[in-house]
Amino acid sequence: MLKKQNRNYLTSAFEGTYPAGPLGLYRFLVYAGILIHFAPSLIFLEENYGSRVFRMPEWNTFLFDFLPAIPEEALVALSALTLLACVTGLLGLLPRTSAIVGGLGLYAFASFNSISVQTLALSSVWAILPLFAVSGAGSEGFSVSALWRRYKGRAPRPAPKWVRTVLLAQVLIGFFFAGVEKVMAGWPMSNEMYFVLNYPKDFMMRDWTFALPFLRTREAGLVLSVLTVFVELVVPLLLVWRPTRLVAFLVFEGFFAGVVATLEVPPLFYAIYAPAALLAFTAADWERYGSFFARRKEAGGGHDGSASAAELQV
Amino acid sequence: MSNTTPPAIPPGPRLSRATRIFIAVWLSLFVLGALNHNILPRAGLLLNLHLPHLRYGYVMFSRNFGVVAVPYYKPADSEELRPLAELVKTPAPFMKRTRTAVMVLMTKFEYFFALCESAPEAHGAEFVLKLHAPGRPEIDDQYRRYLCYQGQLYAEKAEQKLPDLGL
Repeated sequence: MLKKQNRNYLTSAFEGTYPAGPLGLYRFLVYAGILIHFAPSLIFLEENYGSRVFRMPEWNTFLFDFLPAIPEEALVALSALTLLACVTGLLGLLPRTSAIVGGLGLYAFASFNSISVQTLALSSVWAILPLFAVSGAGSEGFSVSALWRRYKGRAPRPAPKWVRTVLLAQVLIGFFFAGVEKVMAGWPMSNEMYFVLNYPKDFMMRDWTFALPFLRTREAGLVLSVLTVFVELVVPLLLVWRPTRLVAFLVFEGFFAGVVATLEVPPLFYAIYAPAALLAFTAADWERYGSFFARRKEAGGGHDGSASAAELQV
Repeated sequence: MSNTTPPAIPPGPRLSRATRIFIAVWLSLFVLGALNHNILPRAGLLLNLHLPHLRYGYVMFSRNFGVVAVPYYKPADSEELRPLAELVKTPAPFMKRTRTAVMVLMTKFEYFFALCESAPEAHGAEFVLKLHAPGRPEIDDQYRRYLCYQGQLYAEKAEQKLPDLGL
């Protein structure tokens, strides 16, 4: 049996409300990442979903066989509907409908043919959109409705805290177990980063990295392997512990910035993982930061000094 | 009237039983899915949803390609090697070269052949694979050249084999 105080600690992470801003920003960035990733293949339909295109049957099972039977007009309509749902999701309009239609459409198209869209981050998309669909949350901030409320002078609607906590948990669990997977595969001593950093030009590594020969040494590879495992295994824990949260956040962001700056990885990967760390901050954290910045602003002059988490919500 | 400041974020209602159950099931599934790629298989347990994108083995990897074949093409009227990604019309922001190259590897070169068949600019072009295979001097830093003619690739040398990728 859980002791009462532990049970309260657990439930307090889920019960109540959460500032709309961070969750809304996360929703916005996830949909932006989804659009950058999926829109090209949904626009260039003929090259990706035409009846004669190259597909990978082993990646597709039952949906794969239905593709040739779908009329071209229906395919265009489905593509347009899916794109529209992603755009409305980005804008925070009809959040539940957007997540259901967008999620089903993306899943179906990626199953018809994933040659242009397959990436590890897809598994996170298949987890995030159903959560938006079930909760209907995420559009309280960074959305058309939030702007409308602000225009009308109404207070922003707070978001349900459990959605923020589940989203954060999903990302951190995935991130942590990616580290476990690496350790079980022999990281960091296998020095896999050395092999990655030594990939030839025009493959995986961004061009600027070839101007830094030290990056391709065994020592640099080992340091980055150790650092990667450390960040994946330890930083998720440090993020949920208040005293280390801010430092862990900065390390987390630095890690993802380093990855996308060095490697040609999908922007979707960055959009799902990097901003999720914003959700590690509690409502009290946001209120504290809000007050801090309000005091700074006041010290700079011209502000009435009142600030609260509510100001962070749009 | 109370003189205490109300909290900026209202506490909100308690979670319903259905929401609590959903959260518990959802997070348990997530942990189970993560364990399914490392610890469960070693314990002799394996969950396979058999669905596209959710089939076992579809996600997560921590080992890199032992052999890399970077694909290029040389247009019929040019001497310059160009990234094969230029023949793919679908954009892939910030990663098009790598996406094309990875697809060539993941499909064990089927995509390489398919691009010769589907891209109009490919006709008459030379398709080139530059091999990178540390520890395998017999193929490392070598090129494989093919002529793309009427949708078919013809090897420069008849005995030329595609490298074993060890995937």
